This record gives sequence, structure tokens and C-alpha cells, in this order.
Amino acid sequence: MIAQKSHKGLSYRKKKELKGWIFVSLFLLGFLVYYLPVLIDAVRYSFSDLDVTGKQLLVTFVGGEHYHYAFMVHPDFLKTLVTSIGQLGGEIGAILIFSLFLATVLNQKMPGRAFFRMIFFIPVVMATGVVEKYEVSNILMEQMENTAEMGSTAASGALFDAEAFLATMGIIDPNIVEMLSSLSEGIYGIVQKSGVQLIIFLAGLQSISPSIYEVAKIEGASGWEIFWKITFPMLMPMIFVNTMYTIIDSFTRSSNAVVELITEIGFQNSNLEASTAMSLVYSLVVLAVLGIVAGVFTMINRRQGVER
Amino acid sequence: MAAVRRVGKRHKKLNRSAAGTFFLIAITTFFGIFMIMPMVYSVSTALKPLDELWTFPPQFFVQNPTLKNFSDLIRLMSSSTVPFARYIFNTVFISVVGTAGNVLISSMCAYGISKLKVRGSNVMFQMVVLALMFNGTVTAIPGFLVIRAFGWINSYAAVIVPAFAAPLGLYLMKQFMEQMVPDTLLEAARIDGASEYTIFFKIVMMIVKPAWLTLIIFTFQSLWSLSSSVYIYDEQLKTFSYALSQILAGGIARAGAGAAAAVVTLLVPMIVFIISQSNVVETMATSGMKD
Repeated sequence: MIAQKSHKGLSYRKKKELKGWIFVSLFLLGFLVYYLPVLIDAVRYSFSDLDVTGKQLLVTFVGGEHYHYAFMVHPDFLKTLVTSIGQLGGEIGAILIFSLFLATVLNQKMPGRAFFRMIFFIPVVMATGVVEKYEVSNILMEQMENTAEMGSTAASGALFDAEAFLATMGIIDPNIVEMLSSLSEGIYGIVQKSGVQLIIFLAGLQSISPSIYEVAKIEGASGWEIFWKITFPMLMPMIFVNTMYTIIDSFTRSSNAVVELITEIGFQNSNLEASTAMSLVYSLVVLAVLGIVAGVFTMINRRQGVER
Repeated sequence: MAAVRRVGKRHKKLNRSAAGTFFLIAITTFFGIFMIMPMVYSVSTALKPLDELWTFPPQFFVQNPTLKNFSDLIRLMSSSTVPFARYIFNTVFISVVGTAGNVLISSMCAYGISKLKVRGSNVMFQMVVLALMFNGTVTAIPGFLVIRAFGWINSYAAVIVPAFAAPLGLYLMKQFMEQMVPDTLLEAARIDGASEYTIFFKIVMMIVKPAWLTLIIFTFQSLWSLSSSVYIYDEQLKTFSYALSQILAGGIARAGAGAAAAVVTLLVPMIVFIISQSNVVETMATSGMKD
């Protein structure tokens, strides 16, 4: 504000703008060179028919045909889209609550804290494509399921199958295993997807000044009060970042039902145009979800500001 | 961290009883088991002799541990036509350059968007998020055409340049900077005569250190595990995980070596994680600020 006086002929705002462009330019260049053309091509393909049989790729404009197919003709697309949004809503909430809870626990002083932190990041490292591809147990499991008809527990992308594990231990009755497995698979899924969120929350927790807690304790606040009156509001920015990250992560991971459907249509049915159209629709839906969530957070922040 | 510890010691009695500590450990151990199971299973599978790999039902823990799978892997590696060191160099080069570039470039851009508020940057940001949402299947063909148009087929650039401007990096860094770096702090630095570059490297990047340490892990891990890139045909330029997948394509008899390979590939991202996390220290952006 104070430095608004002009400097070397340029106003403060102009200079700031120019410097901003210097910072932005490198990324912008990379984006314009690669991602933007890909994006534009994808949009173009979704309105066209592709012919890949010749030497050159033939693109014929056909209008909104593929969008019509996606919404009106394809039996599952719309249904999968709607159900998966509902499911993910619950899952995202569970992941956020769980990782916040665990981050507060791991932020406490206790023996073996560094070790536990490392353990909770293992799933993130394990989730790489390499391991999934080479994981022998998956190949083995699949073959065994085919022969022994273990049924619904197909090791689809999951590195480790909790139900199969319990069953193979051979110490628990199959019926109890069935019941336990649905429960443990739920927990397992949530725990496995919380690694990154946990780290982000931990970073947030560590940035809260200890003197605030000291004051609260001297004033006689209970642990419960401290959490809701200090930790939670101070973590609000991290909760926002984490919510956004979790939404993107759950909506775009390859085991997502809609993503699976799109991939299947694109590769197995070789209907790339329709799958591009669906992907575009899906991206816009996710973008809308992100926009709504961001709006809610802004509203909460504004209200808190008023209360203060 | 040090400050936290000091406070904790002073108020030890107020903090927690021994039972409380036990309770905390019990909770973390319970969930920790869920986290560590896949890891334990991978390692134990890698140590299994061939007959145990094929037992049904599969045993979770190895009965007669052996290192034969690892020696098999080494033997297979040394018998490949292109020296294995070459594959490893390729992967390390791509991972390190790609990660460093991605973290630096996207952090700079995030600073421009979130703090310098470049005009039109919001539209750009929305486009980036849209690109982030895109399914890999859909972008495969246009992506290939773009890379070919630039003549990057069969070069490191085909993998590294897209990694430089990977949307996730910008997204994460922008959110973090917006949420964690107070504008008043930057304004104070400017009044004190700091240049934008000093502000960026000495203040902003220090505050969002946890963010870019996490981003390093992400990017490194995704580049490290990049296996058969469709853009690279030259055997000399192929990656480590591609070479591993070739070895494993040798059939079921190589399942043991495959399990060993999985453990080996896991090791490096794990080490990167440990190193980067040991660097996360308390950031004090908010202390002493009065908004």
C-alpha cells in the first residue's frame, strides 16, 4: 500500500503484474505446449468420429452425437455417475475425519511417533503402478479365485485383500469372516486412502504456535475445548486443502467406478469418441463439485470472521 | 518441534497419564496394522521359495525364508542385453530432473497466481484443474500426437516436459500458499525492501516447505514407477521399471523374481519419503501475526 509511488516509470501495480508474469510464465509455457493442445484435441474428438485405420488420423465432425450416446443410449453412464458421487461423498467425509483424528493422535508426544508416521505413509508409496503390476500375489489370487470360486473378493487393483487374508489364516469361521470382512474392508479402504491427508494435517498442526496452547492451558481450558476452539479453527485452511485434494483424488483414481467405465468404453469397446465425451462431462461435474465445496468453505470463513 | 517438546515437558502432569499414552499407542497400532499389512505381505512374499509361492491357500507369513528370489533377480538383470545400470540411470535422470522441475516451476506459478494475483490467472487455473480431472485413457492419443508434433518421440523430453507442468503440483502449491502464507507478512517484507525473488525463496518457500516436500514424494514416485512409456522405443532410453516388466514377462517361473522386484522398486520412494519427512520442521508463519 505504502509503496504505491511509481518506480522507474512503472507503477507499483504494473511492476507487480510484470513480476507475476515472470513467475507464471514457465509453467504457462509447459501448459500451453502440452496440456492445452491435449485438452483442445480431446474436446474436438468428443464432437467427431475418428478413423485410425489409415496412415493419417481422420477426424469427421458429427456434432453432439457422442453426448447423446453418453446420456441417452448408454445404459449405465448416468446411473454410475450419480451413484458414485453419492458414495464418494460419504467416503470423502470418512477419510477427512479419520485423517484429522489420526493426525491429532500422531501429533501427541508418544514413544515411536516417527515410526508410526512412516507406517501411515506406506499406502501412498505402495499405490504406485509398478507394484500393482508386479505384485505376484495379485496374479496368484486371481487365478485361485477363478478355480476355487472365492467370488466377489476379486483382487481388482487392491494390493492386499483383507478378506482373503483372514480366510487363509484359517482360524476364523467363514461366516464371521464374511461379516468382519465387509467392516474391515471399509476401514481398510479409508485407512489406505488417508496417507496424504494425514501428512497435510500434521504439517498444519505443527504450524500452530505452541504458545496459544500454553495460554489456553493456563486459563484452564479442557482438552475438548482446546481442540474445538483452537486446533479446529486453526486447521480450517488445511481442512480446505485436504477436502479439495481428497475430492480430486477419489474422483480421478483408476479404481473409481466412472473412471473404470470410461476406460472400458475407450479401450475395450474402442469407442474413444464416446469415452472422451463422457470424460469431459465427468470433468465438468467434478469441477462443479469442487466449486460448490469451495463456496461452502468461503461462507464458513466469512461467518467465522463476523463472529470474531 | 523443539518448542512443542519443551512445552510438553513443563506441563507433563497436566498432559496425560500413562494409561492415556497406552491408549494412544493402542489406537495407532490398530490402524497401523492396516497400513503396514501390504508392505509386510510384499516382503514376506519376496522371501518365499517357489513352492511356497504356489501353496493354496496362500500363507501370509513366509515359512522358510530364502534370498533366492533376490539372487534370481540379480542374475536376470545381469543377463540383459542393455546393461542394467543404463536403465537405472534413465529412471533416476527422469525422476530427479522431472521432480525438481515440477516442484520449482509449479511453486513459482502458484506464487504468481495466489500472491501476485496476475490478471487472467484465475481462468488459467480453472483450465489446469480441468486438465487435472482428465482421464489418462482419453488423453493418450492427443498426448501422443502433441509429443510427435514436437519431435520428442524417443527422447527424455517426451516424459520430462509434461512432468514439468503437471497440474497436480500447481494445484497443491496454490492451495497451500493461499492458505498458509499471510499477505501481511509479504507486504512487510516488500516494505523492508526485499525483492520478489527473495520473498519467494526465503519466505514463501520456507513457509510452505511441508507442501513441496510432499509434492516431491508424489512426483518422484509417479516418475519412478513410469514403466513402458509409449513415447520411447529406443532400448537405451527405456526405464528401470520397463526393464523389470520385461524380465517378469518371462512367465510364471519368474514369479519369485517378480516379488523381489516389487520390494526393490518400493524401496527408493520409501527412502525419498523418509528423507523428506525428516526435513519437515515447524513453520512459524502465524506466530506473532495480528490480523
